[in-house]
Parts: sequence; structure tokens; C-alpha cells
Amino acid sequence: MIEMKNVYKSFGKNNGRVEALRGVNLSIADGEMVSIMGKSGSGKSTLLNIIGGMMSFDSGEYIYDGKSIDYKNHKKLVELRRNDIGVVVQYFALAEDLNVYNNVALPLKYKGYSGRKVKKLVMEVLEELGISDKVKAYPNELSGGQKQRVAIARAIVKQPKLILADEPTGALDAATGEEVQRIFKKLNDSGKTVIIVTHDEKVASICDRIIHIKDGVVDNEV
Amino acid sequence: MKIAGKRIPKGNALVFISFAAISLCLIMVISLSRQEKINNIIRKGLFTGHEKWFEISECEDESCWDRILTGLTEKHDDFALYVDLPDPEISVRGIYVSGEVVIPPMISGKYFDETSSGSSKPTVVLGKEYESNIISRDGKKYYDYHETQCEVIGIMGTQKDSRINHMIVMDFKNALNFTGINTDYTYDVKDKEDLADVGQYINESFQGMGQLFMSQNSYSGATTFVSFLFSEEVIMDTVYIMMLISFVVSTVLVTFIWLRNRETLFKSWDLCGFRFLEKVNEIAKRYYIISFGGFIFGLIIILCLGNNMDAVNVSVIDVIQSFAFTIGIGTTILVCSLIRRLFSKI
Repeated sequence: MIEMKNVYKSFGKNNGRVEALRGVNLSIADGEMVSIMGKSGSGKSTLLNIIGGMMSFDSGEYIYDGKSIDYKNHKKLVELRRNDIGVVVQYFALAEDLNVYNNVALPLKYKGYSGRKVKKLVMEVLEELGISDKVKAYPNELSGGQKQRVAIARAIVKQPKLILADEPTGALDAATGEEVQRIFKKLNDSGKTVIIVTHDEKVASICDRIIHIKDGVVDNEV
Repeated sequence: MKIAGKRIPKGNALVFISFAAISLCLIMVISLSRQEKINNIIRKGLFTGHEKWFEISECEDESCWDRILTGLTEKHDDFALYVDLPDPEISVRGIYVSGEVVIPPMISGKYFDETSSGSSKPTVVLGKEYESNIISRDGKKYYDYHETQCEVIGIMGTQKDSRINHMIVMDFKNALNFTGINTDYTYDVKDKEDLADVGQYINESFQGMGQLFMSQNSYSGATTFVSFLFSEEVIMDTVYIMMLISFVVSTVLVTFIWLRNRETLFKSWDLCGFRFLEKVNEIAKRYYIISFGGFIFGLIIILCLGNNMDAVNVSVIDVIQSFAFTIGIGTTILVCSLIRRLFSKI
């Protein structure tokens, strides 16, 4: 499903230039659950952002679903994120002025679906994640675990093939973190490809494969 | 904060209050400044303040002004030549215009320009007090001045009673028909420096044709840069510009704070794969409704104040200018910010 060949990415210019990725090669198959681990600054979040079409890269090749991604074409990257990829981030990124229902419905807003279809899809994922009773609540009225469930619901409501999560348990306590892990496992069991960037060994342990990143290159795979 | 069950972010309340306050102050400043400019025009009797009086006598060539004005227009820009009609009842003034001159506040139609003031067809701009005497014929408006049918090209005047409301300005040739060439004139220039040159040209043109007596030039001293810098006009203009800049900066700051407060929302749009125009639509719905609401709220307050305060006299143009300086500037920032975001990385 995903193949990266010699991908380079740097930030800054001249003396301030930092090479985040220095020739990353990896491949992730359809339906796999993979965790990307590494120290802070090793380039794992940069890698996830590139996979998710949220960041372009300097050189190399990124093949998604057999097609090479034109990383200089912002429109194409947006379309990839819009249709195929669901993203979950550490601090949830929920719109504070929208209630749970509207937050989850956000990815469907410009899809041209009828209100009934949107409602059906949103309620289905909310029920699946056990937060259907919080439909009218606003993010500031939810616990950390509930917020992360809303963020996951928002990521999966458009039924993406690939789910990316950047430190999804980083802002949660241990018990809530485990609940979130179980959700990702369940999603993977239902056929979704899941890639999780994490520091947490427990989270990594539920994955099929662990990719270690060090100094911008794949160090080893377990 | 929740209103009707909907959560209102603090940033929105800030935008609303700020836009209401900025609009209120800005409309008041623009309105007072415009009012002051009108008062200045009235105080100076439709002159720029750089004018000079002269008298012609013993001249027999009634058509010599045609020749002289053609030459004068070729050599100089931005001046006007006035002739006062000896009317004991109405203040009537003939005008010839070249380039930019003082334009009184117009209620309708237009003021004299080079073409209309130099035409041989009798035309007038009426003070609003004489509007009721207008006769309509063949789709045109006419004013009968001492049995001469003059076409009305505009109505001038102020809301409050002023001498402009009681004045009539007519084209130069028509005015000379009433006064004859041997009469008193005033020429007015936009730039003080042109005063002597224009006077000299007129003086030389009348050599050998009659007597010309010109008043002493009260502006003969050269303007130094320092005296120009500390002149009342420059100080007032500077204060006005500084005030406008401060209002614009306030709008910019408020818009930036609002954008900063919505970072999470923008990030959620990015994560959901919103396209550029969809983001513009979402921002427009949020920002414009609130900023426009704030602007209207400020406008309503200023209109209520204007009802009770003679000094505050808001016109449509003041509101349009204030709108451009507040929401217009806000729009520019938003669009620039969106374009920057479009080409930046998360």
C-alpha cells in the first residue's frame, strides 16, 4: 500500500538547515498495523506527515496504492488526505466551537452527502466508539479519552483506507491510553491499515511491526 | 460562553466588540474630518486661501478673456478665475476653472470643470436654497437669472445652513455678460507658488488694452520647509493620517488575534482535507458575520449619537470609507494569511 524510496526532507536554509529525513526506505502492506518509534527529533512525525500528505518532501519517491505521489502538487496532497487518509493527533485538534456531532461530521461537510447520510455515518462511528451520548457536548466538556475518541471518530467517519496517529496516547493517562490502543487494534482488525507514531512501548507492542527511526533513517524493523 | 445553546469562542466576542468600537470611532473621525474640510471651504468663501483680487478698467476688447484664458490654461494648471456679480439680493459668482480647484459639497449633479466653465452656453450651479426655482424643460433643468435661462448642472449645499446654500455659481462668459469686462476679479491657485506667476501673466496680457490694478500679494514671502511642516494644514492632515493608521493597525491586530485563536480549527480543516475555497467559505462565515455585525453595531451607535449631536453628521461616504478601513483591511489580511497557509506546511 505504501512504499517510500530514498525520501529526503529538510527544514531551514544555509547554516540553520536541519535534515529531518535522510533517505528513508520503507514499505507498508495493506491491512498492516505498524508503529514508528524513535527519539524526539528522529524524524518520525515528519515521516507520518509526509505519508499523510500534510507535508511535501525534497526528493525521493512516495508510492501510495501503486501510484507515485506528486509531492509538489498541494491540490493532490489535499485530495489524498480528504479521501483516503484519516489522521489523529496527540492534542486532538478538535474545533472548540463545534459540538461532538459537528466535529465528527467535519470531513463529510463538503462531500456532497445528504444530511441523512451524514447523520447515519456520524452516529454509526460515535456508537462504535461508545460516545453517542456526547453528541451535543462541546470539546471542553469532555475528558481526554473522550476527546481522543471524538478525534478518532472524525478520522474514520469518511471510511479511509489508512489511519495515521501521531502519539495518540501521549496526552492520556495509562487506562485511557489502553482503551485508545484497543480502538486502533479493532480498526486494524476491520481491515484498515494503521500507522502509529509513538514513544510508548505498550502501544508499539500491539502492532504487527515496529519501525525504528534514528537520525532521519530507518534504523531497524522488528 | 454560550448563546442560544451554541458555544461562542472568546475570539469572536473580541472581534465583535473591537469592530464595534473601531467602527464607531473611525466613522466619527472620518465624519468630523470631512465636516471640517467643508467648514474650511465655507470659511474661505470657496477659495483655497491662495487668491488675489484685481480690477480691470478702460478695456474695450470684450472678448479678450477668451484669448488670455487659453494662453493661461496652456501655461498653468490648477487655477480658477472668479468674477462677482453686483447683485444686492443673491451672491452670484462667475467661474473659469483649469485643473483642480476647490469643489463645494455637492448635493446632486456636478461642479464646474474646464469645459463647462468655459462654454458659451449659460450654465449654473445653484445653492440648495434656490432649488425650488428650477424649471424643468426637455429633460433638463433651468434657472432663470435676470431673464437668462441657465442650465442647472448641479446643486451644492450643506445640511446645516451656510452661505453656500445661498450662492449661485455660473460660467465665466455668462457672468461677464452681466458685469462687462471692466470689473473686479479674483484668481485662485491650488499651489501658493503659482500665485505670482499667474498674476504676472494676467498683468502682462492686459498691457496696452486697459488699466489693471492688482492688490498687494500677501503671500509673496517664500514658504520655508519648516513653516510648511508646522502649518496648521499639515499638522491636521498628519494627525488625521496617524489616526487612520492607528485604526488600521487595531483592525490588523484584532484579525491576527482572531486567526491565532482559531489555529485548532484551521488544523482540524487541514486534517480533514478541506480545499482552499472551502476554508475561505468557513472563515468568511465565521469572521464576516461577526466583524460585519460589530461594524453595524458601531454604526447604529454613531447614528444615534449623530441624532443628538450637531457636530456628528455621518454621510454614506464616511460609512463606506470606514468599512474599507476596517473590514476591507481585515479581508486583505485573511486572504493573505490563507494564501500563506496554502503554500506552507503543517
